[in-house]
Amino acid sequence: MKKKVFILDHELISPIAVGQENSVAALLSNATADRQIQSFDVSGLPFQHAAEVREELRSLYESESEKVKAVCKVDRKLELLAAAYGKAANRLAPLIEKLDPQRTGVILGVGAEMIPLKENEEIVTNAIRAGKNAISELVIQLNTTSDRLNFIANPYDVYSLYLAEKFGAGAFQKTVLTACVSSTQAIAQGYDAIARNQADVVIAGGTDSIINLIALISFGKLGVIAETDGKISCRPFDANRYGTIAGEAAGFVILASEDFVSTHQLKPIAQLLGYGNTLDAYKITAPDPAGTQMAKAISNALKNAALAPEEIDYYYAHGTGTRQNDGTELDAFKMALGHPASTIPISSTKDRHGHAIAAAGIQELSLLLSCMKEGIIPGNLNLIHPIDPLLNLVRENTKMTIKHALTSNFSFGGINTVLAVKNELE
Amino acid sequence: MEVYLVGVKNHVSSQFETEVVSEKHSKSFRSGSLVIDTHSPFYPKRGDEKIMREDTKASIVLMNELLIACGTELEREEMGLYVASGVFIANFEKHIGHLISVFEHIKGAKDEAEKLQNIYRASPPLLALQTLTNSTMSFIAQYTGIQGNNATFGTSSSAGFDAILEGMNEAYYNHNPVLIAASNVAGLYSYLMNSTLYPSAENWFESAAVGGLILSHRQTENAICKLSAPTQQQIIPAITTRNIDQNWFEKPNEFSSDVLFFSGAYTKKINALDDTYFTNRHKKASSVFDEIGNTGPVNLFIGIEKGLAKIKEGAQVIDVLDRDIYGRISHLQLKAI
Repeated sequence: MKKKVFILDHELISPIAVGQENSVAALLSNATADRQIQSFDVSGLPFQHAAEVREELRSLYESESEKVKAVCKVDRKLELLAAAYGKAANRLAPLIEKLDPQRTGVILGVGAEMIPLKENEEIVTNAIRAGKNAISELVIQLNTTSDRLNFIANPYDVYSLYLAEKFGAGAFQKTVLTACVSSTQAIAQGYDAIARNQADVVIAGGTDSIINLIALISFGKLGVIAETDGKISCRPFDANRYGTIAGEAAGFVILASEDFVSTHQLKPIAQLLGYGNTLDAYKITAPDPAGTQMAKAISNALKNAALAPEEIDYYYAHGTGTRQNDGTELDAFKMALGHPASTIPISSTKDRHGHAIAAAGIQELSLLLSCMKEGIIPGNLNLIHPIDPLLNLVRENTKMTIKHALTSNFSFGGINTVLAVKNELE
Repeated sequence: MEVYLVGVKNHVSSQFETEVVSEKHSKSFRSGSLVIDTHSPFYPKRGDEKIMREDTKASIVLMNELLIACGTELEREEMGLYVASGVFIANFEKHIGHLISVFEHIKGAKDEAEKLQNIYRASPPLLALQTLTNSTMSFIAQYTGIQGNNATFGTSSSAGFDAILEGMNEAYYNHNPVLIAASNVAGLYSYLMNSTLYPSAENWFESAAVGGLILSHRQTENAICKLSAPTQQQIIPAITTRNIDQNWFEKPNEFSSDVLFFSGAYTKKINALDDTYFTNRHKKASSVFDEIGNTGPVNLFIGIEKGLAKIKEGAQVIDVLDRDIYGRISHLQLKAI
């Protein structure tokens, strides 16, 4: 017998809102973070735009040790995560006091590491001229440390360990590495841990940034980042879409068992009803155009949540704005939901905050929770020519009660993960 | 929680060398690498091979061999796939050589724009796929047809436990067959990443390996033993210290198994301390450190394979333990059937 899994709280550092309490206002204002990159020089590159978190974050983690603060300067993923925790720390303090370390775990999705070569140009060029291994020299020179926190080249575990220390989470600290579905899978596994009574509370989420030179070039050369040509960069579900925006984000949800909720007389904001999680087994470079495994992930989420298609009030799409994802995703949605698919509101918000890759899932779940609370469905900002006019691709922000929603993410390499969420405030 | 182990297969390093990283800093390490059978019928197609890392190629060959050995009747559509990924690029310098070489001439560029254009032009077009963290899992799926529940965990050896635990959960709760894979390439980058987290890097030894397990919730005719008692010591590893707590468990005398395999040390000194600890507490404990060093997330897989050999010789219960670079201790038990 599976136990119910509730969501008690969430936090988000996003290009459109620092702090989950600011999410809805940002969505309603139709603000987009798609702007000229400020954090490093991009002159000469075909990709000039990204969705950066531009607000100063250091004040949110000022109480951290000097070492953590120093690492945050070179590790954007840690900085975003430290800021997310710092933003929520005071609010969560009473809850943290209630946590049993033996029954509390952390699961985070984390994005790929990029060696900061350009940022350390001097060390790299000197090493090459001296006939040395440049990467070795860089790591040796930067990693002068006496603890388990390197300045660069940390094992991916370091992010979940950081958060585990904050929450006193001793049951487990896991790190999921599945690109665009990393944090979605982390949340799904948090669901399992509680549903199977292996934990009372799980802090699940992720952190990632692809706004650095090497990542931007890598994803750009792969053809998924929209080149900057004066037009709107990201147009999910539009016939003229030609790529996504590089993004960054960090955040987490606090998942808790029904017993924990009732023992401590807490009021959950939502219930995580279940998930679907499949593999295309098709090709690393593109989703299976047939969309059958995407559809199965959506169907499995409905099945595991014991929801009928008619009960879904909103489909929060992955909607990257790339040629390959969007059409297949809509076909999969229709395949999975059948006739009701045509009436269910569908939107993506990547046109506003870009693609945060490993943190996409937590960013979008956090935004969904905020939308559920306020009763709004965000519109597809840049949708002019819908690729499927028969579907309800929402163009304007719409006031509407969301009781049940699906939120989807699909990854490079054909991994499909879909969460089913129920509003508990409605 | 108990499930049945249907198959286990590992591929460990057979070539070893000592590499000097920095004479000035007296940094060197011993490392093992894999010899991959490029003539295997399961070796990837040329088009895919060029974007595959070594751990991915070795995994594809091994997982297909394992699946065939366990019987082709396994239903791939619902089969789970859980992967533990250790360090997956042995030498970044070689991996992105074209990109690094740009920096040789970067100072000659007339301005920042020309520098960035040079870097852009020199970047491999498929770099994002080569560094994709789930590359091994996605290629295993592509080359085996597995389409079920899945995840890739990283990076320390604790990821091996996480993948096995999720695989056991999938078999036990959802009654689906499961393939669990782990890979680690060791090498220079792994040494650079991990050695600064350790009390001392003297006599550092690790090696590349790939491991695979197949689990089932029921006792099929090809089930070979039970896999049970997955537990992890419930600690919050501090990232502000790098001392290793030499006590593996609070109650070590509870280990009444016939044989115990332990792993986790990266240096001779720590392995010797572990050896003393277990020799004083268990009648028959051993590790493979002297032969192959640390294999990251594959450590537990190697312990399981060694344990299975002992079960075939008549042992009833085997303990397999591993400690990751942060001091987290994982434990599994094999039981004869």
